[in-house]
This record gives sequence, structure tokens and C-alpha cells, in this order.
Amino acid sequence: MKRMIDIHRLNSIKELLLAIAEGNLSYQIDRSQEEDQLESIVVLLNWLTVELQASLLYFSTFNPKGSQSKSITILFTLDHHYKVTNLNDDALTLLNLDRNRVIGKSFSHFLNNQSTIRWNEIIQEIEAKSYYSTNETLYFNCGPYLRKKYPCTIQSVDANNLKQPIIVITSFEFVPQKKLIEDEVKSRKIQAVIDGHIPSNQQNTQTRTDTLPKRKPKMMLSDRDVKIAQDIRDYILKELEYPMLSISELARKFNTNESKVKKAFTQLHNISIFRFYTEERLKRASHLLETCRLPIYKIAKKSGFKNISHFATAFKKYYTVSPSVYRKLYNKDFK
Amino acid sequence: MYRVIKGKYSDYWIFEGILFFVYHEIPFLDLKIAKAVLKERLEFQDGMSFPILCETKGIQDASKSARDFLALEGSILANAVAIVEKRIVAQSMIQLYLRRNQPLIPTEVFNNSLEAQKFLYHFLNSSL
Repeated sequence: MKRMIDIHRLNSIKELLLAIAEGNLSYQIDRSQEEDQLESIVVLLNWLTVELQASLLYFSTFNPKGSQSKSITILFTLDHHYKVTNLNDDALTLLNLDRNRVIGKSFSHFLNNQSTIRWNEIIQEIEAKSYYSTNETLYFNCGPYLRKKYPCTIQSVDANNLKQPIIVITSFEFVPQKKLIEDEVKSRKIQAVIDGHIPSNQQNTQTRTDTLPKRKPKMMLSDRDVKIAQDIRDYILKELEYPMLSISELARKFNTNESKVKKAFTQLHNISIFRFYTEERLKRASHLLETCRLPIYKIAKKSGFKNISHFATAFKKYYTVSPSVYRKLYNKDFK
Repeated sequence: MYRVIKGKYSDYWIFEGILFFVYHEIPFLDLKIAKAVLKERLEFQDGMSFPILCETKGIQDASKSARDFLALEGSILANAVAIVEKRIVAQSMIQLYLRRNQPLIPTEVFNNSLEAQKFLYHFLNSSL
């Protein structure tokens, strides 16, 4: 039995590595109850995939035209027995499903164990209300080894206008634009073969995407600039309680020049250094206002503000209420 | 003697200047729970900073957003953090967390409480 589980887990690891090699970072492996090195590798791969996905999205903001990726919508409709009545073609593709095997099946059939438990709770919530809508992360099975995580909106449609209530589940996934073009070209080619416009022996000829000119990604920051922008961010966060260094002092500290500091930081973090520093101090102050009974001037000091009136002005500008009003609203000891 | 506070997601107490923090059974630590955990801890500390000994044995898995949140906001009113974890799988998770998220305060993982306390004694002076 143990050996069977190991083979299953090894196959899962292999499938996930192959998916990563194809550039698909949206799969995950279901966790087992094992407490061993193999399970450690499963966890590390799962986490690493999410980290890679986040890093790629992070850098995709450098392309202002947004041509790197496009969101694809996933749509399921269920009947009042929570069986699938329909789903769109993109859902079939993204989840590797066959329409004939999906229609009429219970929706939970497509979820992993963890999400099935949550889905059963959702059903109870749906049945307790005439109108129901929630946002929930669900894990879908994609074949025997892998799963995909989707943030879903689940909504019941009022039964008043229908004979039976229906449930609509929607989600989305970002996919690379190049893949979209390839898929479209491929599907057109298949359709053309079906329609008899292209002889079937020419199916494997070069697709349009292979001949597209390769565009150089618009990366304006060097690796060193990215590292500097990252280090400055960490430095600011570590030193939040103290007055911030000037831009020229930061440039000296990180062996670069002022314009690079400003440009690299703004470009990487999408916010100016000064605004980032102020917002992070205000966030820290808000945590303290919500949770402790320290006088406001001490909270201002712990959050890096030397001057309480400056703190009050900045706080009100950001949160639209003064620190004392904020505290009355959110700190249970001051309500 | 010290008083153990039982929170919704963790138990905590202060002993010899160290804040002990033990997670309850949490199958999946998401951002919502991470925020609630931080709020509970800050309410308990009432504005005072401590070195923190954190036992994570109750956590089975954690979302990226929760990890990112704890690496950043979890440093508030903490001088240093010693994570006590004996499970092989969880140790791997924590190693990845420490390397990838690089928490803002000194953070290390230990497989026993005594070693963790020894590490935290270096951060006692700045605790009050």
C-alpha cells in the first residue's frame, strides 16, 4: 500500500515538473498524510510553483501594453441537485475535461477532497438562503495526479423567475497571449481540415506563431537595479521606526546614484519611495491603534513619526478619519 | 507562574521576558486567519515588544498570501522569532518561507524549545 502511494506521489511530482516545463504554473499536487522526505518535496514544489507564478506576474507589469497574458473565464451552471448542466469550452480546455463526461455529473466530482468538504458546507449555506453569493477558492482535479486552484464566485439564481433554482460558478485564469494565438491557430487548422480546406497531410506544417517576429521583452531594469530596489524596500521596512534616509543617502548606502534609486524603486514597486515609506508607517500605526492602549503620541513615535500633528494629518489623508476616531471604530477597548 | 491566554487560533503566555506562542490545529492557514492571529497577538502585547517563541505544530499548510503577510506585518512588536518545529515536512515549508520571504526580524527554526529560548535570550535587552 505504502509503495502504491509512493508511486502515485512520484507520478504527481513528474506531472507537475512537466507542467512547469511547459510554462504552466497553475497546477498543484494534493497533499497526502505522509510525514517523509517525499512529502517535503511535494510541499516545496507546490509552494515554489505559486512563488514562480507570483514572480512572473510581478515582472509582467513592466509591459504596459499588457500583451503577455489574457484572462480566460471559466463558467459552470448547476441544477438544483448540484449537477453540472453546462460549462463553457474554456473550462473544458483548462481543466482537461470531456464535455460528455461532465454534463450530469455532481459538481463535487471535479473537486479535490479538501474542496469537496467545503463544497458540502456551501450547499448547506445555499439551501438556507433564498439568495446566495460567495467568493471561495476551490481546487479542481485535473487528471489523477494534479489539481488546479481557482478563486470562484458561487451564486444561486433566485427561484422566483425559474422553475428550479440554478447555481452559477465563475472563475478565470491568466494564460500567456502566445498560447492563446497558438490554440486559436491550431483550432482553426483543425476546423479547416474538418471542413476540407486543408488536406490532412498538411496539418503539421509550421503554424503562424512560429513565423511571428520574436519581440524582446520591454525590461528596463538590470538585475542589479532590481536587487537595489528590493534591498531598499527591505531596508525601509526594517527601519520604519526611524526617520527615512534622504534619496542621496540611500543612493550612497546602496552604491548607486539618486536617479537610479528613484527610477528602479518606482518601476519595481509601482510606488514612489516616499509614498511607500509613509504608507507602511501608517499601516503599522493602524495595527497599533486597533490593538493596544498606548497613547496616540507613542503610537506615532513607534510608527516612525517624530511629529504628532504630521502623523495625524498623514493618517487622516490616508484613512479619511483621524487616529482617535479610527481607534474608537476598531479598538474594542475604546468603543 | 504565568497566565496562559487561549485565543481562537493560538495560546500564548510570557515567561522570562519571552512571548510563547503555540498555534492551535489549523489545517490551512490563509490570509484571513493570519490577520486574526496577528490581531490577537498585538492585543495581548498591548504595545510592548518581545522576542517570540512560536510553535507551529498545529499548522498543516499555509497560503502564499498568509506567508507574505506574516513575513511583513508579523514583525510588528517582535524583536526576533524562534520557530519550534519537529516535523520533517513542516521544516521544509519553514525553510522555504525563510529563504523566500526573508522576514524583517531575525528568525530561525529549531527542533526543540530549549535551543529556541537560547537564541531568543540575545534579544531580551531590547524587549521593553
